[in-house]
Amino acid sequence: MTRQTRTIVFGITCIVAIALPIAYVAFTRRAAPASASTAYVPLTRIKPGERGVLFRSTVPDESFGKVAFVPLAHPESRWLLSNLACDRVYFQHGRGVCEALDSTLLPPYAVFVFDDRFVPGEKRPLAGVPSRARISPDGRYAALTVFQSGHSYAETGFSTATTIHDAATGGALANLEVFKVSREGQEFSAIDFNFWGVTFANDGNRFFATLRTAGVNYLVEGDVAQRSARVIHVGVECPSLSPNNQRIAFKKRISGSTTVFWQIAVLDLQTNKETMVDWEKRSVDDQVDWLDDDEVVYHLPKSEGADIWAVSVDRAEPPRVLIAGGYSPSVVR
Amino acid sequence: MYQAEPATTRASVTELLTLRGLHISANVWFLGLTSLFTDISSEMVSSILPAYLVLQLGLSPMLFGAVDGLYQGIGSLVRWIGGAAADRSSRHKELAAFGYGISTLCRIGMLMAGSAWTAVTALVALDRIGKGFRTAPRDALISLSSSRSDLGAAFGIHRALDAVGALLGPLLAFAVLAQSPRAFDQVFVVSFAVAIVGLACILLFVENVRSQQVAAPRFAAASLLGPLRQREFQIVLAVASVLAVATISDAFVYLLLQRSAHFGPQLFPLLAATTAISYVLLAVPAGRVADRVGRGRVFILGHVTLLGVYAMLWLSNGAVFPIAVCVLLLGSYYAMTDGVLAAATTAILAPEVRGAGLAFLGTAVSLSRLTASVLFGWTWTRHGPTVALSVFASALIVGILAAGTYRIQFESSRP
Repeated sequence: MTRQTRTIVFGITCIVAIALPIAYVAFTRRAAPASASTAYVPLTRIKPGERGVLFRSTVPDESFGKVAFVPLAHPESRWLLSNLACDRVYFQHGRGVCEALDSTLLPPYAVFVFDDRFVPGEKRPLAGVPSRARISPDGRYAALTVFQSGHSYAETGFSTATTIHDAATGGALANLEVFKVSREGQEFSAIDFNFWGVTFANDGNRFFATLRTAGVNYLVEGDVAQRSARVIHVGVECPSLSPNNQRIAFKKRISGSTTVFWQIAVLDLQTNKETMVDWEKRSVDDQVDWLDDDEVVYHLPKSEGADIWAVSVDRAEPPRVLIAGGYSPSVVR
Repeated sequence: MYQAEPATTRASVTELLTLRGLHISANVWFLGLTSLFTDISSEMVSSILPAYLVLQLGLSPMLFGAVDGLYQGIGSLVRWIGGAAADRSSRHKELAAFGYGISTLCRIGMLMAGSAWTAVTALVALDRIGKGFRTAPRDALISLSSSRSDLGAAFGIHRALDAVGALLGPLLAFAVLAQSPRAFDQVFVVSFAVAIVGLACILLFVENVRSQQVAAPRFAAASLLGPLRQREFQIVLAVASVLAVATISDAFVYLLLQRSAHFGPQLFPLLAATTAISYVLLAVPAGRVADRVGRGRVFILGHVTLLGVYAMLWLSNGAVFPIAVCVLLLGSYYAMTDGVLAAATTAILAPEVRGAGLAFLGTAVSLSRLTASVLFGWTWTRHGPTVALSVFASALIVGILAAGTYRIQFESSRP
């Protein structure tokens, strides 16, 4: 090839490189399904005492990405749809928290709290990809977990950051990494401490969370006011405290050579006995939430979006779809 | 550290910032552009990968941690194969292009993988294999295309272009996402398009360089282990490894800064970007100075700069000034060591063993860095950050002094 030919070929390559994304966008936009409008009822308020499930919609229509609500009394009824777009959402005692992708920030993630009328508070930057969100039953605190990727060019490792926030304003109060942690009465600390998956007790101050260090996942019981926590169990990820505060449902990592499998399990806090909920045979990668003291809910991905499922932790009955097309369930009691 | 003659210094000041008086081969520029476009492409994907996994696929990125150790092993093996193959065939361009091609295919693969996380994991691994494979043939070709007296400048230009790509990639990715939120597929398509341009640069404009002495067919072992028998190479390998063991990784530097300043982790990207900008600006001048005063000297001086980073970490009280100085020094350290080490190494290796030699060096340095990270993390956990910092600073001082005693041999790489 002469120099001239090469330059021409390069020019053509550049034109193709510019045309390709434009053509792709044009093509996929045309191929997008016409939004089948299902006339949602606007969600303007969750009244005190109203029971239901708040979640994120993954249905590819106008509801996509928005927060919706289904009353527990009529789970089949038409969704109530809010204007808030969230990736993770949680609501308790008249206060909600929303973690969302926000392209105006860098890194592009934000968090804000909202009230029972879905009026959002101040938007604050998040340090990583939203992973978990919880609000204490008394509506005092919010707990957030985000994933942070390795900061160096050569690293692929991920770490988590878990912070406690004031649920009224959304302002950060503390990172769990500053909490004093003990194990068997001894002070316990390491640089590779990673916390995730907070669940609050009914008093709003006591909490449980996963602590990972040196490849081991511990269950810690913590105290927000004291800024302290102690290890109480091993092998627990994403704990979720039952409404009567007696049991913890969690995802248990079943070791596999190449794949990771998470089985729902339940830990009785009185007897310290673990029960596997192995009638849910699929891997559940979510922080489950309790529908009541018997059933837990969680999302499972499907080819397009996700569904919210419910399963009893005591009765070996097959799991059921609670909300088709839902994601990030938050049981409102 | 060194005393340059005043005349040399005065002459170089104006020349350092311009490229005047340099004879940089078109190969170096086009390999630099290939790296620039490829890095834009790969950093686009890696910067949004966590968000894609978690928000789009609903997966937990913890899935990736488990296979990290495996990557290290595979990476070293593939790097070695790439280097040795380049030495034996002297088809550096084709081998490097093959490595870039693998990564380009991975971009379009991301689009097709959809929600199959095993496929996504495989693609991330395959991308790394492509990267490992191409590095040694590419660096060998840069050295073969440059005159011995300009090696530092040539590698400086390449590394600066490479770092520009790494800076622009995340910005382009977030720009695409800002245009249409959640359009991760569009990010993959743009990334693929950018990778094609990079691939075109190497395929169309880079040419193989025939080394003067045609390599006679050798025993595999001779060409693979050949560089290890050369005393000068042994010294470079030892010096680079020892200093790398005393090097605190970026992640820990930023973490230490964050602890001292109590700023939110959302400022991490700013620290990384400032480091990269200072690296980009200083890579070529550092390479040129290295060509003049000796690459070993600048390499060691780079580690003295790293000692400055440790000192700033020590002094840092959370004020903006020491933090800014710290990351600027960190960028200077990279500018004075990364390309300069490649230049120093290739200057002492015969053309037919450069690929294997670079692969050995790459593996030795990355294993040393891994060791350093493990040691630093362990020391921090057991004895706290102050002790860890003191231990590493002491080790670095010992390393610099030890490297200094070997400088005579190292300096024989001088033109």
